[in-house]
Amino acid sequence: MRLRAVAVALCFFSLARADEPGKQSSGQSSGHPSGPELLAKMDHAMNAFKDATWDCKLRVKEPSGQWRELTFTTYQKSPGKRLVRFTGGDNKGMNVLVESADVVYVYLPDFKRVRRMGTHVKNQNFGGSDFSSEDMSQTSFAGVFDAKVVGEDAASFILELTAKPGLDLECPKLKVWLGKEPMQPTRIEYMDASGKKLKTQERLDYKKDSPEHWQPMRIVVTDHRRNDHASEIDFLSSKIDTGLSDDLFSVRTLQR
Amino acid sequence: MLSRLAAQHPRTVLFVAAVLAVFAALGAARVQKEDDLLVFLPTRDPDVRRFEAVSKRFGSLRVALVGLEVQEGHDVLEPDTIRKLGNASNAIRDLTGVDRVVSLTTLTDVVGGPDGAEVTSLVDGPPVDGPTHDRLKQRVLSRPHVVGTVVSFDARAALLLVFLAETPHDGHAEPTHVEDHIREVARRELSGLSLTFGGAPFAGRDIYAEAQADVWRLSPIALGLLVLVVLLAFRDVVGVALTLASVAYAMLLVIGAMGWLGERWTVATSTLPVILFASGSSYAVHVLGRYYLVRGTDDAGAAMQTAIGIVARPLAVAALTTSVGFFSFVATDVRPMRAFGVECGAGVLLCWLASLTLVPAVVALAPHRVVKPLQLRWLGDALVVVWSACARHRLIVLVALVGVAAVLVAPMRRVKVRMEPRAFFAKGSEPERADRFLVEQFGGSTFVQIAVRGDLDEPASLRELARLETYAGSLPGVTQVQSIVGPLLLVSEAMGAGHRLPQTRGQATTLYFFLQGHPEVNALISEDRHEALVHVRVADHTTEIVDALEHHVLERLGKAHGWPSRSDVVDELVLTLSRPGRPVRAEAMTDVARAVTVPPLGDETLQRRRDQVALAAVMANDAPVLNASKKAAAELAVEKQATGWRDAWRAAAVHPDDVDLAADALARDLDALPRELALARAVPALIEASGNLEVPPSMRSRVERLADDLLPPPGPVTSTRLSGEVAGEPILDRGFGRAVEHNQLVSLAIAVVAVFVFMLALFRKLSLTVVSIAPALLTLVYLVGGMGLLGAHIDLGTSLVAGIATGAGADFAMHYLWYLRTQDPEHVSRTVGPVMLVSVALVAVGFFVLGLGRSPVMHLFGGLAGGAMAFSALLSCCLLPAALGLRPGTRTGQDAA
Repeated sequence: MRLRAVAVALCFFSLARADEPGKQSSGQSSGHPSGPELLAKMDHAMNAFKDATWDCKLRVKEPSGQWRELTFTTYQKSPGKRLVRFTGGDNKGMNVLVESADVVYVYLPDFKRVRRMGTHVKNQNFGGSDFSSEDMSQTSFAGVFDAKVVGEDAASFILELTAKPGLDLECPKLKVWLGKEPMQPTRIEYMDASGKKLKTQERLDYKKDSPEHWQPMRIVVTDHRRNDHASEIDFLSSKIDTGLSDDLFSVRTLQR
Repeated sequence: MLSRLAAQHPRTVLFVAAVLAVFAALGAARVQKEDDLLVFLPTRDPDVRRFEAVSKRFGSLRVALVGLEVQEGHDVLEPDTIRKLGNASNAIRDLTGVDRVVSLTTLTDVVGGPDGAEVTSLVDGPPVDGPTHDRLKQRVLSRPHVVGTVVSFDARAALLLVFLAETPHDGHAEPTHVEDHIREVARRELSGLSLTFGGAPFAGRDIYAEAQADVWRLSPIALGLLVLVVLLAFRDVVGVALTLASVAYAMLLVIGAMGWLGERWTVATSTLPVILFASGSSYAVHVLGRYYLVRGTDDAGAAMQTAIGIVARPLAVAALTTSVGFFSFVATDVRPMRAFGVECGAGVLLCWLASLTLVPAVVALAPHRVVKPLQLRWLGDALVVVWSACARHRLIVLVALVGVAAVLVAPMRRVKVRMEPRAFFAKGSEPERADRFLVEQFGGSTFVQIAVRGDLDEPASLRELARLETYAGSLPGVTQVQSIVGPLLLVSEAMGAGHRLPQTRGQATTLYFFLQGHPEVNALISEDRHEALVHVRVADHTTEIVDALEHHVLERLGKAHGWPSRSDVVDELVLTLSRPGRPVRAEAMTDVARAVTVPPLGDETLQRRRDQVALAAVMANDAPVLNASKKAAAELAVEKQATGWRDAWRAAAVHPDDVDLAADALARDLDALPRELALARAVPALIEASGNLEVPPSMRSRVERLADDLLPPPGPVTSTRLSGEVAGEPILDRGFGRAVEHNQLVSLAIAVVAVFVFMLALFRKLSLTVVSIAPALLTLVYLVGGMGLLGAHIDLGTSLVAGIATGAGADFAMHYLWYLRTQDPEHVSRTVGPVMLVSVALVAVGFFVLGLGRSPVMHLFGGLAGGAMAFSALLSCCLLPAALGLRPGTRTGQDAA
């Protein structure tokens, strides 16, 4: 079932943690920063805004070779307020409000109904794409992973992330290429417990959309298990800190 | 001329041969393996093409099945099994080349309620105690889309459906052999459980591996026997080595050419070594046999020239007739079989050429000692006795041979070509075990598929698809039917719209959104939702089911469909509620159906319900309105009915938007009430009318869906037209069988005509030509007639026997007739006869050895081909003297001129 997909749709774009606003790190600290330090800086850089609005296009390459497209707008405001409006494709008019990772409200215009949906199922992907629920809900990493630095080049630190004990994740190991400017991931390799590479996520075309935040305008995920099946999201626009009203994130608004 | 050249310039000939061998060896290193059995599908038959197209479109052939079974008295929902199943599902999911795994532990379950839907895992971890286990078992077995798909009806067996990733369109992916990894992981994670591995990916690999194993096991045996036969005949190691070397050389050239031409090594090609050693060694045997006979009087070079002078023409014709038997496969529309025919035919010709070049060249360079070959006098004597007896009683022999053939014509016509997947499974092999597992635990391993085309967003199309599903499910022998209708109903229920099909296009596209992307859904509907596949699991009566479905598709599906008529719904209700031996009377159902209507607003029950709903809406705890004065507002709402709610709420509510939303929601709910009430009344009435009061919940849901269709549609309905075609394994079998039958006839016709022409060119006399091919043709009649008597069927392998037997089987008679021109029968029987029998023995032994294989295809092919060769030779011994009427001391005299 794809119900989980709706639940996680918003999470994908919830790169914000407005409860932790702060200045973006401009580089590494003196000496050699540790893995946890770098991970904290990465999380901070990714979430450096109060609210955000993104117009997005998800493209999934179908087995026939054709691309399927889905366009939507994501509104986000802390703490954890997210609204997704589907603006194009078959499901134009459908809106999703996320209250938590497990509870979402969906407005189904053709049924004229709002349905609350709870989900506790892992390993689901979004709308037939290669983005999994975990990919999409990953707003920060430090709370989930332990990190250590395994390499460094002129442009990036290379971190190896291991899931904290007790967490049951689809991909418990990650290898992250953390750019030095901006201090955000440019490439993430997802691995199973044995270290076998399962997926690769590339975050491309970073654009500064506020004085303190950089936004990747394109994210591409390749699932190596599916013979390198790929999906990509283009961020058509990114507006940061526009002062979104709390009223936007209500069931009432969902139906409009 | 070639042999003279070889004798005069042996070093040059051997040098050229060595250069060619090096070139061929380089080519041989380039040959790639082809383990996809689908390449053996005929390309021209419409049924086969349809099967291929549908399978490719919906990925049916990319589903690998891992079956597991627990012991009697246990079930797969016990903690340990669930734990193992979960681990196996996750581990297999992470393998490269696996798209998704569907199993008890990966399936989700949607539980709908008045306010929302909860998506949970169907099995949320191993049950912790007995009651939890019992509840889990009850829950799992109550899900119709789960039972029969990933768990057996009694929960003693489970299936992991492993959807393999699709090979990218834009390139050739390196084969990952993911099947081997799946097997390895499953055996590790599911240790202690009885496992089976089925589905097309495993079956293909297993059949190929089995055939390969047969070849590796049998080739040394065949080679050993051939060496033994040649050694016994020549009693000369050099002679044996030369015979084998000539064949090995020809084989190297063939494989080298395959490499340079990009031909792949298929399961059929695997038999090439044995077939060439069997069919191709006889040329060197003839040359060397004759050489040994004349060597006693001449020197080596002269003896070889004399020997070749004697055998050249019959050997040339023998090579041509044998090779044409193989070349006749080019008429088939199975590409690897065409290639196989060309490879074998070319190999035979190369063996012949090698016997005329390499053998004389080596003999010229190393004229070894003269050996006295085995005379096999007893064999010669026996052949003379048989000849004399048959010539003496020619009428009896002819009448007997022709009479038996005439008697066998009727059984011969009963022989059918049958191509079933299980015909390829060796007894006790993994595919056979998997097939048995599916039949015993899941109600069958055969699926008929109906590919339906049309606009599947249209409510009318979906209803027609549901009707097709119901019809298929009602046919005797059908154990399960699956289509996109089931998942749509499930999601509809979760969305709060009830167990009903969408009533508008918009609703349909909304429901599809929640289903998108899953491979198990992709197996039911195409991405653009213009094609759907209905899977019909069949236990028996396959032919009747296919006929019935084809008739339904032809007569019903192609018509324009709007909202279902009452009679359509009644028909479907009758099919749904009828039980074996307890059919439902359509008249009774029609009467009830006619009474199913939407109640008028004045209906008392409806009125009461409206009040309840209005009150509940206003009083709802999570309503975003009316924190104050709820009670007053509720009372007003009930009192003032539809016109008054908005005002009442507005007076009490804080936010005007909330009033509008609440009023809209309530109005929508109240609009739906009459229909709900109609259904609540109709469903029990319809069930009661069927006389089948003990209906399970799943059937009750189906009645509810149909009852909804008895009510008028909520809006205008667009009429649609669907088209369909029946596909699946039975259709493949039918098409494959038809193609094989056609291929066999064409290949046989080519072989007969070509052999006839060659014989005519050799003998230049019609009577001798007819006599020369008569034993081979009679052999075919006996062979096929015998198969008819034994109830045996022709398959892909046996279909090749006719062509081979015609070509190679005519050799014995041809050689005899050739020497009878100049020698009397007694002399020919004593000199040529034993050599011929050694030669036939070589061929027959080679094929018989293939018949020892475990692979059923190899088994039948080898046995029949070997039998045909031997029988054809024996028939020649009887038919020739009877047909020619020659007694010892006479000759055909044909060549005297």
